[in-house]
Amino acid sequence: MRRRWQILGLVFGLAGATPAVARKTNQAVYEDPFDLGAGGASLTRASKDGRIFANPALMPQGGGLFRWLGSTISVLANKESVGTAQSIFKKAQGGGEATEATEAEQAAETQAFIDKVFKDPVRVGWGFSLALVTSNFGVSVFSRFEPDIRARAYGPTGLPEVRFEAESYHGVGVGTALRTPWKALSVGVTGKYLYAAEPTISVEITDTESIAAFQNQDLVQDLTSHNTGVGIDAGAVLLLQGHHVDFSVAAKVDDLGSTSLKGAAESPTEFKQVQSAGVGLTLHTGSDAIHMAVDYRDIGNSYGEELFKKVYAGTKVLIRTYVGVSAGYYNGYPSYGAEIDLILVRLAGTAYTRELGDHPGADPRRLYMFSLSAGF
Amino acid sequence: MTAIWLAASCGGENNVADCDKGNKAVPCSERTGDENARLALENQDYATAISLLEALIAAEPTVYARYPLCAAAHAGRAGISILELAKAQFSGGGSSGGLLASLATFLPDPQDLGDAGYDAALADVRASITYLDTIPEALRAATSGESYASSARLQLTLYRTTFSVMYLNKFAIDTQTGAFDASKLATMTEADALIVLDNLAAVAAMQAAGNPALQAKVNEALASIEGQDGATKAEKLKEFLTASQAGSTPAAPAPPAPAPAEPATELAP
Repeated sequence: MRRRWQILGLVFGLAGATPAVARKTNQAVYEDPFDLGAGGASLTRASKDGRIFANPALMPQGGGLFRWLGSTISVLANKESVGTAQSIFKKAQGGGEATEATEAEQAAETQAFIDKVFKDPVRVGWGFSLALVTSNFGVSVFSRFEPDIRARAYGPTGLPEVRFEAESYHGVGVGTALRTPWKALSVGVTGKYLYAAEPTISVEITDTESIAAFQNQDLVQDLTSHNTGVGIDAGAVLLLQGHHVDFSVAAKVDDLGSTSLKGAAESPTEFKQVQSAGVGLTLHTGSDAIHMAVDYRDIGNSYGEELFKKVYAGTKVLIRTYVGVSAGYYNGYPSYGAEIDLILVRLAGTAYTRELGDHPGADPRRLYMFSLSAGF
Repeated sequence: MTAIWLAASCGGENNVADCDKGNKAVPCSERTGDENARLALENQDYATAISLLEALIAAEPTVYARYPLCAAAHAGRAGISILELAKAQFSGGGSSGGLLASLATFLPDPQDLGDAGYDAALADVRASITYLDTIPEALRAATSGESYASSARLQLTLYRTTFSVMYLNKFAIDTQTGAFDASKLATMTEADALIVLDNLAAVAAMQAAGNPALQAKVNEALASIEGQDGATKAEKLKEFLTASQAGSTPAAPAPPAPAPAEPATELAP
């Protein structure tokens, strides 16, 4: 009887806390949803407060003083997991009542839960940001939480396994940038305070010995612990503008000197320094634009990832500044996005895939994200 | 160029760097043998998983982490679903009835497989046990720090038990009708009985077997068999089977004391 609550309690514990999926390597700690639709190629062009994290040197680009003042909320889910996620979080909200359920009812609920998770793994997430971005300064408070519950009939040791993972990244980024005397070149730097956790727990559900370990309440508390650290990103953009064609080259260093994170959480303890470079080509009229970009991240191979996880490529098409569509390749998989600007409100939808394994097809997650931004 | 990007992006959900389904113009990133074996297992393509894992084991015989996976693949091909066993364990469904009744729904049905298929399934379970037995005992002991240790012990418990019951069924179930056939029991030899009993005894003797409930049932069954009338092990086992089918298995007199060490167990020839 208690096994059910050991597993469900673990899920609820993670859900009630603030927690992440494939762990951050060469990607920015916070990415704008529309930028993800364009394959995540954001070194030479990023949206809203995504600029602060993608490349602070992007802030001086464009006209006017204010770039963005507003807030963005986003939700993310795997299409097949929506029903399962709803069920789990519904239970999480009303978990107290279930203690009165009979043993048979609890067993049936456990059976239903296991069936659901094995059929439709749960991948959900949400994000929030509140930001002010000007041509020379930007500040963004962000929060991103992506739990991932994956069940396999055959885990790494051959037994059925339920694996809980999460990416929980929160913090504040403060960026500043300026144009150099050579106006085509801008440079920027972002300081960030990070509150992060990447909890992982694996349960072999036939193994009563390992399940017994989850009776320890301290375990859930350990999983919700976060580490903190302060890091610095620095970037530069060279923008050569023409009447209808712009060409840009960008360079960026993430986590200059590596960012150390300390605290009670097992992970992350360090974000390694990553050097990246990107090129962009923009075809534009006065109000429409087509931006094509390719980023090559982690030039120094700090994380030892395969090429397909280091190249981000995509295109954004902006029509009359009110409508945008994007497409690209993120982790080698096709990605799509669309955004509508309703003056004070922006709606965006993104579909992209993250490869959590080391090679294509090893452990992919097809994700759908919707975001609502309020601001101008 | 945008059109190219959009068209390329809309071309499907495959990874451009996938060696099989990707874009040939992009450098492909090949999955490792271990990754392919895991994917094959997840897709229940047991033959491919076994082929890949056995090749990897042959190349690196001391990488014992692959042995429990290979054992699971063989068991999967035999028709044993560890997942179903697990689900039953959670819901309490696996704890009712005696040993034979508890496992009956999780084992391959002789009627479905036929004689040749059933023998092949038995050979697969035997291979599973062999792989797990090949892991040095110290590495699969409760004191081992290896991540696969508890899996190896649990799988060994399950497969030894299921092998015993499957082997018994070979002499009890008519593959044509799927029903208990008392006349087939006559073909069971003393050596056959010892194969069954030795495997069950090995389960009973295991330390930290990973499934105390199942181990307790094995102990009960062994005690019950020992309490049957008969001059030989085979006769006692036949009596036990007949009584089990009649639903009148006598109560075990007393559980046997755990053996001091796990005995070497002979599998089916």
